[in-house]
Amino acid sequence: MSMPENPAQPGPAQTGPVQPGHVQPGPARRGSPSRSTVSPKRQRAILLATLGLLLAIAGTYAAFDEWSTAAGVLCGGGLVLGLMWFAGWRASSRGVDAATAERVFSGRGDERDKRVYLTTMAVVGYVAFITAALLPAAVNLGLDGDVALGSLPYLLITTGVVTFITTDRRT
Amino acid sequence: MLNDVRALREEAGLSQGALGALLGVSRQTINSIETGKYDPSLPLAIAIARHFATTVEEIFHVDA
Repeated sequence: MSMPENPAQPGPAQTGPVQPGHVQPGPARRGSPSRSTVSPKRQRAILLATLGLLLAIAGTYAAFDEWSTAAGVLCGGGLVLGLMWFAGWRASSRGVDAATAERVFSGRGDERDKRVYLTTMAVVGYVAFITAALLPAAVNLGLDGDVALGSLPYLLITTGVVTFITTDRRT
Repeated sequence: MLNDVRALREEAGLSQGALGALLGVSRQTINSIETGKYDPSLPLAIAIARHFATTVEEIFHVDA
């Protein structure tokens, strides 16, 4: 087997290590190795599918005369969908000035945004796990069960918001 | 991780937003990389190196 005189000098097949200056500058990238590849068309489809699911759930409750629950599902779910659509609109209209949260919740986040989001979800999950273990003990010790369950979503939402902001500033 | 992204970007006359647009990431990501708060993934590090016609090792330096 023949060896090149200078192993550091790559041959025509570029099999050796690349020397500085021998790398061709990359073209402007239309795609990115780091950004979400979900197209706007697919994002709209996901939003519409979620809206359809929401209407189906609300309709199911309404079919069983659970009107207040159906209304609650529509209000809460509609609010979330509206915020997601608004986040997507702001992310696309603001361009490079879009905030991390706007990019994350519109599906246009890059790898750093994804890390912030996953870190937040991990912390919220951890807190939920710990809370699920501690709340029954607290109820047994006298804490009102309705208060315990009612405060849980607020605790998790607050944890998520604080963690998201902190992680975004530190990352 | 220490890196020379800011120096290379300023030498090329690019803003953080412009470089981010070329690489397909946000301006915040470029800023976080330059300040050492965020280490890019391997594909992004390679994309940065290719954009500036150099190697990953020339740009990113393991902390002493």
